[in-house]
Amino acid sequence: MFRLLIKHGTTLFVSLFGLTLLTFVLSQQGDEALHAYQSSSFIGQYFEYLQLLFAGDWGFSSIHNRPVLSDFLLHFPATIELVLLALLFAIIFGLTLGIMAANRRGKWLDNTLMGITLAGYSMPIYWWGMLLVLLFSLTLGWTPVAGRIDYIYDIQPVTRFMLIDSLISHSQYGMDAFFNALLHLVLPAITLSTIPMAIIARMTRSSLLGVLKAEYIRTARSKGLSQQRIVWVHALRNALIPILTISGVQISIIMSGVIITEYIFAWPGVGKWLLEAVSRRDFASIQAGILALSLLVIAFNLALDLLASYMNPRLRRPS
Amino acid sequence: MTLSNTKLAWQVFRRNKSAMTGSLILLIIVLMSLVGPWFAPHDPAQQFSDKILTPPLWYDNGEFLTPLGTDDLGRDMLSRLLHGARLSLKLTIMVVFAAAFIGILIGAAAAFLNSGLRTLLMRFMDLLLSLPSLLLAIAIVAIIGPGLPNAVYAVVIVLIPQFVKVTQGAISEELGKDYVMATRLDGAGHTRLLLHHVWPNIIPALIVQLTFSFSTALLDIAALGFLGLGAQPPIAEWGTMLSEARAFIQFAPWTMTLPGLAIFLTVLSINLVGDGLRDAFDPRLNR
Amino acid sequence: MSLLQIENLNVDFMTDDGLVRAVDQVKLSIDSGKVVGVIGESGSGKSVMALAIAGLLSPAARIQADLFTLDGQDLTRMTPAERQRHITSNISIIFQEPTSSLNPALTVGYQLDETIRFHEGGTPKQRKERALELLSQVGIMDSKRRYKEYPHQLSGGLNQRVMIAIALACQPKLLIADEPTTALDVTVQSQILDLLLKVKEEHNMALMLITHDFSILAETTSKVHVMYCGQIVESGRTYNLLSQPFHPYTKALLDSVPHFGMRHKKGRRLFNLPGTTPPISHLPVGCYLGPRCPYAGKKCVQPPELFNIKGRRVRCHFPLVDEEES
Repeated sequence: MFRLLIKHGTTLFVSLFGLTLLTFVLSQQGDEALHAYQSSSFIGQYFEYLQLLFAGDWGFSSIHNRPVLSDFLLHFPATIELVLLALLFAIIFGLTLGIMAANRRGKWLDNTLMGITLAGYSMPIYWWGMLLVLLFSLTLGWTPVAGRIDYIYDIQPVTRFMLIDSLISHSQYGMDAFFNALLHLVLPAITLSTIPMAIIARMTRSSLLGVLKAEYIRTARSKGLSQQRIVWVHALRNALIPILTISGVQISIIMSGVIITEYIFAWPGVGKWLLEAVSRRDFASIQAGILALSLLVIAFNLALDLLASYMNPRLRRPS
Repeated sequence: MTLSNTKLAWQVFRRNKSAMTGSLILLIIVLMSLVGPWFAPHDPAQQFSDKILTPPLWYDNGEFLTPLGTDDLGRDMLSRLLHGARLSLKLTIMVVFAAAFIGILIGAAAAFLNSGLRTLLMRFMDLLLSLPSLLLAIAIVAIIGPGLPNAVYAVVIVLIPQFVKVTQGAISEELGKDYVMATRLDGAGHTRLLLHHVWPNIIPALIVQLTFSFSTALLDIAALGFLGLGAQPPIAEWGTMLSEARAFIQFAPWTMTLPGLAIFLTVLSINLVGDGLRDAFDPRLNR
Repeated sequence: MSLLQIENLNVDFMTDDGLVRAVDQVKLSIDSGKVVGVIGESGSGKSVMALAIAGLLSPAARIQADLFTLDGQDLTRMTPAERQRHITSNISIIFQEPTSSLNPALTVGYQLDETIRFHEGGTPKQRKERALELLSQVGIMDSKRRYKEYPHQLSGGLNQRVMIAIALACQPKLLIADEPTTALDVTVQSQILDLLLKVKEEHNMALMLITHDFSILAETTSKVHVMYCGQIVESGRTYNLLSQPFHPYTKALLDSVPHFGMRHKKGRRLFNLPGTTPPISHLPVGCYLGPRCPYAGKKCVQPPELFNIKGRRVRCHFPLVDEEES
């Protein structure tokens, strides 16, 4: 446990140091300095930058005329909403497809699923999003093309999570606003979830097939347990550990994808906000956006590592 | 990697149907990118103002001279796609080899650093790896400015950590083996050890990494083009073409589907080859 | 009435070399409460036979038998599901590697508890009491602490005890122990053997002990089967078989064991079979031992039947029976 803490500790420390150094350099790029630093040396200014970061002063955007942190937080809920739903899709469908394929190893269903998932992880997300828009929005007319909700609904931004806010305004629109928001959310979420879903499905399959060969599975069979119980309790628990440990990559893929997805669907989240900042050379916003998104990824990775060690008793309680 | 290993890997690879299919598609794409521009019916930048948004042949009003249709400026899609293929593949290969060269050097140096420095360096590489690649590329492009050359540099930097990790990991693993200890006891120096003993044994891992890096590089260069941070119009680059097509999805879907399909097929075939290579070099991973 | 009766059990696998027979014409019977030994080198098919009897072979294996009765019921006439249910409620099996035979992600208690739940049922409290009782029955001292621990926290010997406890929770009439002590420290081996014999008495089970070590069989079993290349080459009462082997292979196996405190007869060498055991994918024609056998004659190109000689079964054309006696 102690060694684990040290490992995570150094990783976190190096990560934060490298990251803040990068964003500090970014913040120096603009025409005007991010802060009125007292020190004139690079190192001195870096430490002042760190102090201000911790104090919650992430700089001021002269373009938006607002503190960048509050600007970021304004756009953040839209991104979180999209990412969480995509993550949910990816995990649920990825695991299900992977288990289905493993259970019918070598059969046509397995081969079909593996073919589809191979196409899935080779898919350029920017093309895939537009294909989905072409099919479901423009041709079939099932889903809206862009945005979070139709303009006819006047939703008060309370939490800035559209699904929650539309429910809060229940008295005004009933469930209509909520369903409208959900409909806006579905296509971007599917776009975003496709690649991680394909990867999770393939990994679940191969990991599960590996585990099903283990000797303890034979023991479980000899005890007379049902096939369901053997797969879901005995095999999946062990198969999930390696999947969890590389899920950090998935969140990275999703965070890369969310920038593109927001761009395609005009989704008013931090990805789109960041791209606008880049095109306007608004370095105060750029450094804040990159810092915040990276912190999110680092925090997620740390949580995953801890969860993986919790699920793997050999790491949690060494003999 | 001895000769017999290479032979064995090739035998496994040859029996792998999907890997062979991927190789075939990739071969065709590479051939098209090599000779295609000579056969392209038009100049990729030439605008036929009377033929704006002409649909491809399989539409009723398609025209024979522009078999895959034209875009919103009346430029021939087929010619643009063929020139785009050459550009995309050329850039991808340059990017991957540059990243591999730098990454392998750093990784090899890291394997012989003292453990404290190595830990620090590798943790930093872990950070770069854990960050979303596009976010990192955007950060770099934000510093050095948008445009094709800068996007290429950004993707090179994004790809480096992978090679550092693979090289360092493979070398450390090899260095721990008995035969290396034996050669060390014989008085072999670092360089000799690396070149003659370790290097041949880590080539398979590197080849697999190299293959998958091709698909990442292709996707990321096109992504930056799509977001307007990479190749700028009127360059015929697949990602930029996709970006330009956004406004015409409904009226001229072919301007969007065709460049996307080109990217997709290339990436798919590279991944098929990569999967096949991984299985061939590592029989333990057989499915 | 035999508890388990098997005749002409064959197990085939499809491999790159074609169809391979891992278990060939095995005839075996086990009476309730008895201890039977199976001995053979690695690759002799003894483990595959055990797995086939316990119904644990992968679907890729083809299993056939002329007769297969367990506790008075004919298994050949059952559907696969019925057969599986009947086997798991009557046979338990423990393996060579206790630690990898237990699920690393689940506690000892959980793995014991789910077995009790499946076979006996009861409230969670009753089940826990039963589990702790079983753990102390197999000689685990601080059963309450071990109940909460994971397999990797226990030693190999303790894990084998846990495996035995799990096996007992199935309330089997037959316990198959496939090399139960091979992976354990020498000092622990005899403890586990004693434990197996103790729980066999307490639970009135039959025990099938699979091993490659004659010294284990001599002390524990009443009957022994010797396996070579998937076939049983000799079966008989342990004492008789060990003191006077009829089959050349049994004799060779016995001779390969160094006897301490006993002077070797003049000219007697350790393990006097030339060559190595052939892989089951490339077996010789006729008697499988033929090419290596010092007693082989022309007849041996014909596969030998099982002959009954003096209450023993021997698969040999030239059994080592003294002329004047026969």
